[in-house]
Amino acid sequence: MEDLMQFLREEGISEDVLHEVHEYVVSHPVSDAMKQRIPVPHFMYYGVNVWEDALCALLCGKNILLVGEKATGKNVLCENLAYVFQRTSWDISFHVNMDAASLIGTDSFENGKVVFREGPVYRCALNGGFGILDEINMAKNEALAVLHSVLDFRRVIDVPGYDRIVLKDETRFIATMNYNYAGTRELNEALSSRFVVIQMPPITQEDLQRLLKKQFPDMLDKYVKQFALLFLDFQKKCENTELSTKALDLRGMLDAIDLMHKGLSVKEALDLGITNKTFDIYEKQLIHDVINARISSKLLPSEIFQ
Amino acid sequence: MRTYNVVEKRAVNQIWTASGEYHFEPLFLAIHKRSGIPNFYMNLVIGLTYKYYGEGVVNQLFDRWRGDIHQSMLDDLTWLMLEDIVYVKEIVQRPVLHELREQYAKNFFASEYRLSRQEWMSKNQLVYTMQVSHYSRILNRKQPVMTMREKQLSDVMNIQEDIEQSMLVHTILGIFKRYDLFDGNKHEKHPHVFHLHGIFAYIMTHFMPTQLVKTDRVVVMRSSQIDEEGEGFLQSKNASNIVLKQHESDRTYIEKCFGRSIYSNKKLQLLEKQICTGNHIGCHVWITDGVKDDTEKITAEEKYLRDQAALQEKRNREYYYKNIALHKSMIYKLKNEIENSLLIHQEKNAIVGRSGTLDKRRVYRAVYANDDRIFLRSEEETSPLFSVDLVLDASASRLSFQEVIASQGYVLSESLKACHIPVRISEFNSLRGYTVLRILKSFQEKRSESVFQYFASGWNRDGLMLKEIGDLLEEEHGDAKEHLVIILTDASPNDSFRIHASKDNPLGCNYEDDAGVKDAAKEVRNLKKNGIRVGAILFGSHDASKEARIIYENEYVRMKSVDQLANAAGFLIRKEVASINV
Repeated sequence: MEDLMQFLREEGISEDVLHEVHEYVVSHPVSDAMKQRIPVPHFMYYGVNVWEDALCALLCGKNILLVGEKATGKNVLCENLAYVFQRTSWDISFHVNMDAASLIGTDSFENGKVVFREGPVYRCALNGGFGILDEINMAKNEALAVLHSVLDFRRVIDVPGYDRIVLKDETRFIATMNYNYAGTRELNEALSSRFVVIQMPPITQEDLQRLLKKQFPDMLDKYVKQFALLFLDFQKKCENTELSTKALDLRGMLDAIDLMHKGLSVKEALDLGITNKTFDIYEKQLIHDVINARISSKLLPSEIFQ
Repeated sequence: MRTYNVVEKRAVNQIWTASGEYHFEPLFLAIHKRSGIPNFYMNLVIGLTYKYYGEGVVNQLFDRWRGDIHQSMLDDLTWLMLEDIVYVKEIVQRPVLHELREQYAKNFFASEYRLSRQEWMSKNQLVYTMQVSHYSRILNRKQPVMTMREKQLSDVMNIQEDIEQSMLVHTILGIFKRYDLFDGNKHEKHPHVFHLHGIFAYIMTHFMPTQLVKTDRVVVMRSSQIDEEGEGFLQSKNASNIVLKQHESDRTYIEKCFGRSIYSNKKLQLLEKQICTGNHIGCHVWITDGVKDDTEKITAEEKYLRDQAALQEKRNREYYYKNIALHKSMIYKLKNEIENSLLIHQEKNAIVGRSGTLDKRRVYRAVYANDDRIFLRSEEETSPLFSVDLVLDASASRLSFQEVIASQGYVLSESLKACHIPVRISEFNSLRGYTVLRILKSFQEKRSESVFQYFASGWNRDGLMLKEIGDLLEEEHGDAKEHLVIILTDASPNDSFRIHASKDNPLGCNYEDDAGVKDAAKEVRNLKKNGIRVGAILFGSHDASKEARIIYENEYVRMKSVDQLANAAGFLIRKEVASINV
């Protein structure tokens, strides 16, 4: 955790906020049995303003809703926040068939008896963890009504026929949503009013370069810049709907560079990490064109790294 | 916004990638003449020119000699200079440019051996010499043999300095002026125009190609012919002006041109009695599936028309398959988008099973009847949520876009089919008082190939067409609870058959402008009253938005070019899906 605190210090987050985070961690210890549920982040989220907004909101006991396009780092930030607050986290991926039972819990049948099987929100509330409600607007609003009492000032879960449980003080919910995804719907006011909303900006060239440098310290600066610009080229193409968002895959690009690091040819690595994610021949041509306008087809992996 | 085929679309994307801007239409696209594939490096150069100098300066520069007798030479020389200028500006940002540039220069010399004699002859000698000099310099080769003037020009054109945006036009024009290539004034070649009257006009219009506007005769013409000549359509009167026999009735003519009616005579009469009222008194309706009676004898003109229609179908199909990669890509994307929207509204049927959500009412069966099927699992509803009627305006104003419209109709049909949404595609136009609704693809047809039969001709009486659609939906609605009618329109109803005098309109009037718009708006409201959702894809000028708003209220989407038809329809469908309350 100290490494992330140090990172935040370097990013310029105020000492007061970091001190409060530390206080929070110390006053809400996690049992050894649950420690394995605390996520260890693979990447750092870059963006001082968003960090400060999120830390302050969580310290004030608010639930947060991260709204942003694909590849704006919503899930990375969720993971980072759970880690910096040292909270156990429950990842709940929302889908169209999500219902109250899959969030709170459902009846089950065990040894001839009907018993209550706890759902992730219920367990999160009992353990004072962070509940990550991923792509919350994929679910129908009716299914989410059950969360109202969990997310507002009442902070309770009342399951008919069972106990009414009060959320532990340290419990927080972080929801993510991508407004423009096809298949998503608008959150109703009742639900969105229970969150503070943070707009996630697209990653900047500078932050992208820092991320690449952090992941691949031996990568030459000129290629760090070219790969960052390549990603931004994809981003522009997607924004203008010339490409589907399949090519806008930061994880895919990092995977591709990782493969180059292992010695795979640049072209093949980019195909595996990015191009092959689309099955549309025309789109593949466009992706190749974007790559060729930045990265030489003759470039050897050994030339990219020191 | 112009319509791009698959190669042009890729080329324009290369330009946009380099410029980082997507909101302009480039003046130039670089495409290899022989192979027909985009010229990657030159497209990057075009894009970079837009990046550094902006659309305004680029337009201003090339507009200076647009139409000049030396335009081609001046364009080529300018691009040689711009290549140098933007290369110097961009190389630090984009090191790959160095390799791409060298490869481009090598390809230039390699292609010299592949040129035919005609291609050599068509080259401008000065441009060619400058190109050889330019690419030799890039490859550090020996310079070609040049006259003193050519050498000086080549040196001046090798601009290695950073030219500011405000200085670009001035610099290039200065070079052209100094070497007497362009003095700043356009020297245009004007076409010879003759005005003929009387007998001369009569003779010439029978021997020369003529341009027509909307008529009450069916003429099937190729889109590219219109592209070449601008608005209207060209035809050789000599070839197709076969005088109609006076005794041939309009009805027979309509039947021979579009196919027999799907309704019996009696049903048709009844329908006309019901819907040819108000503004449409005296009009006729014709609803057909395009099937023609092959046993009947046909005249030479009818045979000619059928051959032309078959030819247009072939052209539509060829256009689709020529750009198949782009079209398949559109089908794939549209299908995913619609499918995603539908997911939210998919109704689930709960059925008893061995896993799923516990059904407390059945728990006793596990204990007392040893029946472990005490859970409920969901099964997707298979019946479609709604059906779609795509009605394409097939009046003569669509002549320039027949292939594109047919291909887009096919794309939409295939996308909806993949989402299990019943779709019917029809075209409509009006001739000689008949408003013809031709069903190209019915709800039952599995294949969408028949959409390629689309061809444009005649006028468009939107109000009566909407009434016909209402009737057709009563007859056949594709087994869905909800219906969405999407109309491709220019929001400009226009028919040669006048609105007859009535109590409200004592003098009668032409079916156009305000009268046409009001009539179409009324019929849209009537359809909506009957629970049918109506949306429009507006294809036309900005000015038409006002009329579209009157007719379709907010249920319309304006497309900039006709190749966006399927996407625009997809947008309307998603909007409608979102509003459907299951």
